Amino acid sequence: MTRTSSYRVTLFALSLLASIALVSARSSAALDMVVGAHVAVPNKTIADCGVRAQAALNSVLQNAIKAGDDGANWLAFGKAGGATQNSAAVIIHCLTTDNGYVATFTCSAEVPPNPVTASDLCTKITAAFGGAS
Amino acid sequence: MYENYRGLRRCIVTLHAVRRRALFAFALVAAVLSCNVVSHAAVDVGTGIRYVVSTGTLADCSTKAQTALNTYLQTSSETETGSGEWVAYGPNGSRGPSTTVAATVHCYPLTSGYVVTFDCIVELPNNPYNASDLCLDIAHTFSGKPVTPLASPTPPPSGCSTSNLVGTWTSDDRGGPTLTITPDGNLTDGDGVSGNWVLFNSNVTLTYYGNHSLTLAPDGKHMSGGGYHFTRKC
Repeated sequence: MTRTSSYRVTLFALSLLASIALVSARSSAALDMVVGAHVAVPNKTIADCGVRAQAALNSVLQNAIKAGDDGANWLAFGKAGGATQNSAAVIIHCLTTDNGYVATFTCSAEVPPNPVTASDLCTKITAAFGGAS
Repeated sequence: MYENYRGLRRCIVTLHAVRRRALFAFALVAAVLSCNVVSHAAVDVGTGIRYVVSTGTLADCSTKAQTALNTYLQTSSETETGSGEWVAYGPNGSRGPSTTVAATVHCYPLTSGYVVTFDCIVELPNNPYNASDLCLDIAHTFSGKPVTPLASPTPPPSGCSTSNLVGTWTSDDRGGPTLTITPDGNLTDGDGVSGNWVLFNSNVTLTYYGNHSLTLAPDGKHMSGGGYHFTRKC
């Protein structure tokens, strides 16, 4: 009986240690950031950029907001895999040019817990934003 | 009768096996849940600062961007030669598993001058400063304005403080353990056996092969109780 009990306790302790080691090994999330390809849009206003930026961010992440006072920076966070804190973020800058505007994309993600990398995130957001037309 | 006995025994053995597996599964789930509670850092973003500079070239902007990034991070690089998009990573200057900070400076040429934006991403609480503070300093370094130094990591306490037990404690008894006590509440002996410590006023609780109550002396150098006598190196 004593041997059985000690066996169970040992088993419990071993499984606990093994689990902690496994989870610890993957819990150190690496932060990644990439700059996506910028999109130059001629003959359009900065307001057009804002509308497209907000829509693109909300289609991939959530709750896009304006950042800064000039209304030309857009930001959204993502929550991946049920994590309780923000683990991804994308910033879109709308820059007025001499002939229209340019949109730039800065994407970041912690992997894990994010299932997609910062690079993938930028690809999705840029595609959702659309081209120059 | 014998068949009934064998059947009963087989049933008990199966029951034990099921209980062992259940115990293992419970331990696994408990460990995973407990680790997830403390798991991931959050992404903090600093953005919104932009300068429109009416004189100067893209090359001027790039030079300033590189200098500003290298002041706080390391080894900044241009995403493509001539693009005017500069990135840098920290704390080791490389993009990889240990990266906890990243910043980018975008330079975009105008007919007359250029426009420049600053984005910073900081993992919290893995850094002593937030993304807004980093971006503000990078932008001010870019523009030549005064900067506020970024917060530094809090150095671990040292000396014989009476407010903590951090340090190396040697047993006064021959053959006793030497304990290395860290600020996070952990302790380790020379054999790698770990435990925990709590200090309330001068009352010490060491969890090390069971719980032990000791008293920290007013000099912060000695603690004793429950058959243990330790002296701190300081």
